Amino acid sequence: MKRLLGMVIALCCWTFSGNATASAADLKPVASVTLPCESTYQMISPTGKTLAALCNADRSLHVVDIASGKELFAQASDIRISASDFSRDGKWFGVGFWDGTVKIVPLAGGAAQQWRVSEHRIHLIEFLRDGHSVFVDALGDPGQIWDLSGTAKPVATLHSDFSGPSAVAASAYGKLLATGGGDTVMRIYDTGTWKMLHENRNASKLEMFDMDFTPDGKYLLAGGADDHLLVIDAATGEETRKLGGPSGVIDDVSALGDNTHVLVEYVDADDVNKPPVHAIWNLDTQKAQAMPDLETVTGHRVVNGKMWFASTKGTALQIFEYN
Amino acid sequence: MEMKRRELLEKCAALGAMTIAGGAMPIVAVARAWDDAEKRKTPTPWCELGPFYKRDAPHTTMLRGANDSGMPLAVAGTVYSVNGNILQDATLEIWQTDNAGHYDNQGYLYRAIMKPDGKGGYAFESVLPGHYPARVAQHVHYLVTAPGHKPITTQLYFATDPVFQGDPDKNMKADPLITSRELIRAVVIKGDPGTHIVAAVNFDIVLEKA
Repeated sequence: MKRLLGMVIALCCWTFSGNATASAADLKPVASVTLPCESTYQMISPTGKTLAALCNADRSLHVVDIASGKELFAQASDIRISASDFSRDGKWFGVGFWDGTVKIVPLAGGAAQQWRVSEHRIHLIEFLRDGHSVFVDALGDPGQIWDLSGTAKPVATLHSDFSGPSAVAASAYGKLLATGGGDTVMRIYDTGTWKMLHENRNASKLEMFDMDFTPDGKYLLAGGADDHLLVIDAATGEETRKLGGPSGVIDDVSALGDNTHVLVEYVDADDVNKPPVHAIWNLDTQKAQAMPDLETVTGHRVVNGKMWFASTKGTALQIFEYN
Repeated sequence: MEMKRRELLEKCAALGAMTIAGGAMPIVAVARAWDDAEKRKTPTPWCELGPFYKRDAPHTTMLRGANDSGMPLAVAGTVYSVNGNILQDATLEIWQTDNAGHYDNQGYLYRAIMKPDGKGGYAFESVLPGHYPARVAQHVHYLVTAPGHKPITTQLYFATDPVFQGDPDKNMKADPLITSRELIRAVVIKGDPGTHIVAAVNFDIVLEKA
């Protein structure tokens, strides 16, 4: 979960703004569900079949099957929740807490695992594509890889000069894992050996807040405090393009399924109450298109290569697909 | 005249006020160990790096400009190892908001790198930071590194910050990111109110060995 995003969702809901050049007609409703509570933050799973909703009133977290509305898992907020993620196949859901523990829940049923990773709060969880490993990072600590086959056990600790990663992304075919550190260094690892393949110390002097690979694995896309979208050649770790757009720090980077378009969310770090601005970048033309207005957006995710947006009114949630 | 630790121990042993286990342990070694134990310092509490660290800041100890608004701030301290030795080869990186609570991410305003002097001392001049919108308390970020020691990220807070309502002991939790009361420092107002005043703060840093 992104750091600035966390600040924003704590204070307000999201709305689109800006000079839209795309049409609202490009948004097609694809699903609707009634949430167990009023929520201004949801995480849609990569399969598009489930979502997690954070309740406004008590900050509890609920995983819901979108088609049936059935609640699959609920996490009370007796310990404050600080991060969460779905696995790519939708089988696992991971929750991180302020007390440094991580809980991994099999959504089809079975016993959850919970263990302490650190004394610091968990701020990044990312399931790997192998279906049995998860990247976990606690603030200030190096990133860790845990194997979930049987009792969770540590597999690797990833290097940082200081502090820990602030962004992480797994490539679509699962061979690469990239991290952007609080030390501002971008690193790419081989997930088979956990050997560091590339280390880029020049791409950014500021922290990165989010990363994503294009689905073909060719490019690593990263954004953060310096408001540029960095396009990195995943095979070499070298920067190929640096795309400057709307002002504001980049809080979210999501590559779409065509390997060309990227949704980028910009946040005004000096005014977190201001609605974020969204743009779709074309990596070929290096031009950005502003997103259409939508009344209230409370979550988004790339599902089957298309961007899905969640929008809520009370407990009624609707999901739109952007074409 | 102040008695040295060794002399005190010798006198205590001679008068039977103290017995050293093992008998053969030299008084001078015991005195040194005792001195070392008293010199030991507690590591500075960790606090998170925060989202706006920027690499390659300028080497300076003057962070404020001549016409900058805000209460002038003077921070000084000494960098130690946990064994009490000074660390003159440490490097301190400091960053904070301006008086209005704004981080300069485009440039390097209110960002600096500095080295301690021969006595491990460091000092810089700035302004009291404003309240950054997504944080509760005013703070100054530190990243301190030294050969043979673990790097530390921490944050300096001010006891005069209105969020503590005059009682940091009671109201420290107003900002959930403050990890230790020790990081909230007393502020001493110095200077002549008619001409120039400055908020002076002392903040020592203690690094753990790697």
